[in-house]
Amino acid sequence: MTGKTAFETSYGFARKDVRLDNWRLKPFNQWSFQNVGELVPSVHIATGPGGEEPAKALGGLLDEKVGLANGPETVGAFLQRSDTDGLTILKAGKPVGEWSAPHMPFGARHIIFSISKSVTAVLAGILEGEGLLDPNAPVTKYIPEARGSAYGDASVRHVLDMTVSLDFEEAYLDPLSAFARYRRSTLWNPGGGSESLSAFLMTIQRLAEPHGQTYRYRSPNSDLLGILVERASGKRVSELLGEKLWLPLGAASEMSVTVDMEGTARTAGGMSMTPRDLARIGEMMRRGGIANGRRVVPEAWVRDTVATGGSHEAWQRGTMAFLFPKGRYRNKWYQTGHDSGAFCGIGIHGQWLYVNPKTEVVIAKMSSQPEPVDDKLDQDIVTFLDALSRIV
Amino acid sequence: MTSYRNSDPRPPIMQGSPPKLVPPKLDWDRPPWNRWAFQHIREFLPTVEVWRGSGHRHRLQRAEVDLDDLPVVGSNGAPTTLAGLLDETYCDGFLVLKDGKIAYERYFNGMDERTLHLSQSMAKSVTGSVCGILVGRGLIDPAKLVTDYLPELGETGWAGASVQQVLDMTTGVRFSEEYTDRYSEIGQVDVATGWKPIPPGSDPEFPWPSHLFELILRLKDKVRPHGEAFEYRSIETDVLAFIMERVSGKRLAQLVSEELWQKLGADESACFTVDSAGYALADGGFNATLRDYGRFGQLILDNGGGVIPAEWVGATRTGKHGPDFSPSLPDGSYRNQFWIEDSRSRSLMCRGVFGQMTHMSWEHRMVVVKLSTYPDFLNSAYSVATQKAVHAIAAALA
Repeated sequence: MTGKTAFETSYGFARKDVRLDNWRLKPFNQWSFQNVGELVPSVHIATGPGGEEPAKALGGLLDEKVGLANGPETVGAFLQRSDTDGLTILKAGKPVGEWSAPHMPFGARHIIFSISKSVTAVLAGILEGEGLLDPNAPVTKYIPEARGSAYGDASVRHVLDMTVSLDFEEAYLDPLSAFARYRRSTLWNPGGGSESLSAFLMTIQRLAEPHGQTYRYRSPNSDLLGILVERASGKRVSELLGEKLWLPLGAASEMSVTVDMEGTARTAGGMSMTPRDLARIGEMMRRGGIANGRRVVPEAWVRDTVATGGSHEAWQRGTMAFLFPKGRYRNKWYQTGHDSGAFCGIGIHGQWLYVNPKTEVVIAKMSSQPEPVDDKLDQDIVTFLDALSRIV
Repeated sequence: MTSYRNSDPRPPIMQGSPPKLVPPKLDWDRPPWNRWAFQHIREFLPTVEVWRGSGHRHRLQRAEVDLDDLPVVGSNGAPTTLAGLLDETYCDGFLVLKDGKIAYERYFNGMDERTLHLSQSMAKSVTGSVCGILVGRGLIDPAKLVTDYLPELGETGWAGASVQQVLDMTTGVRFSEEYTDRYSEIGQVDVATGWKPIPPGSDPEFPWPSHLFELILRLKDKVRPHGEAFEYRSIETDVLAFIMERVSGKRLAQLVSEELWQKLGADESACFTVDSAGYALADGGFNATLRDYGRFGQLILDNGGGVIPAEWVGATRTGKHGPDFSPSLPDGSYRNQFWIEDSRSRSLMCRGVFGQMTHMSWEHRMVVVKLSTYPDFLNSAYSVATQKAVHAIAAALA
């Protein structure tokens, strides 16, 4: 009856050691990324009937070698080096196999961070198809109180493509900075609950440069997108996700999204789902917006998002061009610019939804990398995912 | 603010973007906010999942009887119908299982088959049942002292108390269950569990506990010798849960999942609210669907169904009764975290504030679950009228 608890045996630390002020740090993130709801209030989106098919091992694939920056490395070794928690591969819509770290049971949900942006954009695409959301309209058409903020003269398109000329920097050390207020408003850090996410967003100001020129990756834009789809539809994000995405997609497990003091979903990064369900979203995009023989989002929107839309010039002026030199960013999805036509969603700490139309492969990789951003590792991951999609 | 009944227009609490009516952090369990909040706990409090497992849902057969117009007595003594009483008593969900089949099932106020509803102190009976399983496995001996399992409680009021006394709420530990006093021990539980923020304007010197175990370690006083009298104090259930966690090495949510929810064939995973240290609120933070509470009640009625030891369920139905046990249960008793309705029927009840109830009648092979959101913590007239209605239903289905 004394000695280690089951929790300590699994994770190497006690549950009580994980707090709102440290949950995203290593080693706590190996647990917290699968249990965000224990730290941040969350709304849950249920599935229809039916369950998940059992896991399938990757088998010999783990011993295959991939040429990375520092030389060849086996798939198995790289999955470990990149702090992978769960990986699922689909080929032509069929499961090829999964890999899970010992601390991630098959069927567990995992936070996808900024891939939440890509998922929210799918909702925007659906509403666009229904004629409820016009990407070329000003933000103020849907959110009148955005007047006076950076969004007062921006369009929905600018929000979707991260080309809002937003004066917002990630100042980690200043508790009074806009960034610190932002983190509190989302309830992801201690001290939240006095300013709502939507109230905070309306206080951000703009830079002198016109909107639409430069790709500026700023998460508040994607939280604003969540409010845009709510205003355009008259429904809350959780309802939209359930009705328009989760049920039509045939998702097998529940998903969840963290919410703020007003129940506003953290659409920039708060979604959790299983690797299989994330892969289902990638597969739906690969199939041009179709899942289970049913149209989820218009084909023209998918084509624009993953292949033809977006500004190469704006991308080049941004800070991520090193990752995809020929890339573009459209509707919260990354076009790699590779000959394969590969596109992806990316989240901090190593979340990837990679879709390769040429090889018909979809890979969902969920991780607990110690650093939120690791440029060098990201480049290896792109090489790895590309190679893996050709091997399987 | 005043609440609304199901027959009144429903105010748009948390509707719209942004919602104009948002439950205040200090008063989410008060009217009218509780009418929304008890169905949406996960959306404003951190929670831990009680996984239902990947097994099949145990399908409840249906043999329905329309009881809407069943004559019953209202809380003011005037005749009404069952439907009228459910409206009068702020019902969110009502289920009758007769011989294990759904005889009557109603949802109100936005609730449906998949909604997790807060059950307040019905959580105690869930926790107590899992304790019974651990006792059956020899992991806990109710005759042993609390401090045999939790030595750090040696400096608290629980020194010298037995586990059975904790199970029956007969330790002498001083703990005020004064719900509306923010500084009372139960008020401190609200802060320790993360249910409420520290009340603004409260004494800045007041040492609010940062989590539940810290509060337990501070409870040093006794008001009477252990074992002398029953006094309902929620904190005893939390002590019990810490004993269960200590002997098993598992968190309460994992225990309830493995020992009950995975075996019930539950429709949905349930959840507990958790404090800042991740401790589940064993005494009142459990949330599940109406039917899953029904499945739990049926398991008890089936004398544990091979999951909970039958001897444990038998012992739970054997308490020290009356006289004047409580206003709503004059011949009642409390044993192993369940209420016993009276000495004759020995029906068991799980009860929670704001109108939560599961009634298990061996005499009528019937389980009744009522989930509600009364405007008040306790309303004896509502609870007594509900209990009488249970008996009227039993007679109608006999």
